[in-house]
Amino acid sequence: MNRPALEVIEGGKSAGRVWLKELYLKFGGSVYGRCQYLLKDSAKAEDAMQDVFARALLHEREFRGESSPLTWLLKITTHHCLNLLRGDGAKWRVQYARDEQHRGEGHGGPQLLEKRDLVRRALESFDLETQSAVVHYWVDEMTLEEIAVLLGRSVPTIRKRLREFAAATQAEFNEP
Amino acid sequence: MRSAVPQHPREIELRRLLAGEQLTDAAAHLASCAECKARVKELEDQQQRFEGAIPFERFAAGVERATRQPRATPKTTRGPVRILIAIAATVLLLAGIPLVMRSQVDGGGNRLKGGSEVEVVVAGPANGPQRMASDDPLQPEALGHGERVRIGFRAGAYRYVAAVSIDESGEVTALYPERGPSLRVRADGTREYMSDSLEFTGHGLERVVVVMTSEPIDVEDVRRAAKAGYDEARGNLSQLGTLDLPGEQFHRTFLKP
Repeated sequence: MNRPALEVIEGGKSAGRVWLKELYLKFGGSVYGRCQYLLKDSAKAEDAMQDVFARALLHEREFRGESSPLTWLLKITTHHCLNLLRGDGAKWRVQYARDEQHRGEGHGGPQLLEKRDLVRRALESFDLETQSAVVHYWVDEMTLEEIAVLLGRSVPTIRKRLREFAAATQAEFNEP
Repeated sequence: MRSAVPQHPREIELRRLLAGEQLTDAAAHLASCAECKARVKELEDQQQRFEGAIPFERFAAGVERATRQPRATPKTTRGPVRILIAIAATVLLLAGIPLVMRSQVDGGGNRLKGGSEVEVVVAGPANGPQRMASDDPLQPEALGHGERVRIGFRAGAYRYVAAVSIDESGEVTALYPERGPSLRVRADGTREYMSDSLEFTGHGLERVVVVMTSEPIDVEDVRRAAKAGYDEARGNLSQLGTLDLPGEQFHRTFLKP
């Protein structure tokens, strides 16, 4: 009889379920909401959310050491979703075209896009760091200092990124 | 430039407050600001919508799967919800399972009265590692892409076995047999495995129910009972209870990739 070398691994159970439940109740809505906002697809948003919380589990010590766990999670979430979008660039463009057409038919055109929609819509043409800074500034309403700390950059660098984005998109950016 | 301590707390501060972080100024402001209370209510509603859309069991299973099998690239469009039966290669792949798994189950597992039990083995698409699926129907076993399951059982005092599965949309599929009376088991009460393995496609939860009886029953009766149970649970597989059937039944839940 052919008996291949088989290795049994554990599955389905986790000693960390209590902590996971806490994460679910405290942060699930915020993380999933960010994924939906950026990915515009509930299945992909759920997958992305799972990836983010998996990372929290795998980096539990780092996560628990954060002064603001939510801010850390939103940083990871934003970065992960933007990466997914960059890897799926064609669909990103199709999605925007469809959104715009839909709005044009039902809501009076793209001029009625809300600020957050405008921000998201304009992200594609910028680098990942600028994209992250833009989301944290216009969506999370973080300060330049907070974003600088979060992304490990200087305040002038973040200001420059946001200024470039604002100039290109005519987004409102209150210069310091 | 926006201030770090604005008149109204910023959204990130309200979210942090809701998450239990200590933000004294924001908390003091919130206590007396109807506008901010309304914003907090919106955030609470967002959390409630999330919990309604993705129950914790599904969330936890998905996260645990992601820890084992991180996704590195965007996923492709999901296929239709259906069940594929992978036969030849899988039978070869899983041929050695009983020898490997026996010691774990005999050490405890889900043995019930009469010596009947069910165990489900999960195997990857290639000759990779295998594992025992969760035996708690409230803790779904998260499956990766291409992973297959094979149902094993020991019927104990029972003589017939049948299995169906039901997905989140309420579609019930007769697995073993696909039609007709339930399968006769070995008389010596030894462990057996179903003749082939299953690969679930689609997304979301899938509940597998294995029924053991003393007399044969038609799998269509099992299918109908599963559908009735689904309707009674109002489509929530986590709430699916014991089906109205004779004999003994075993429930296992899977989260499809």
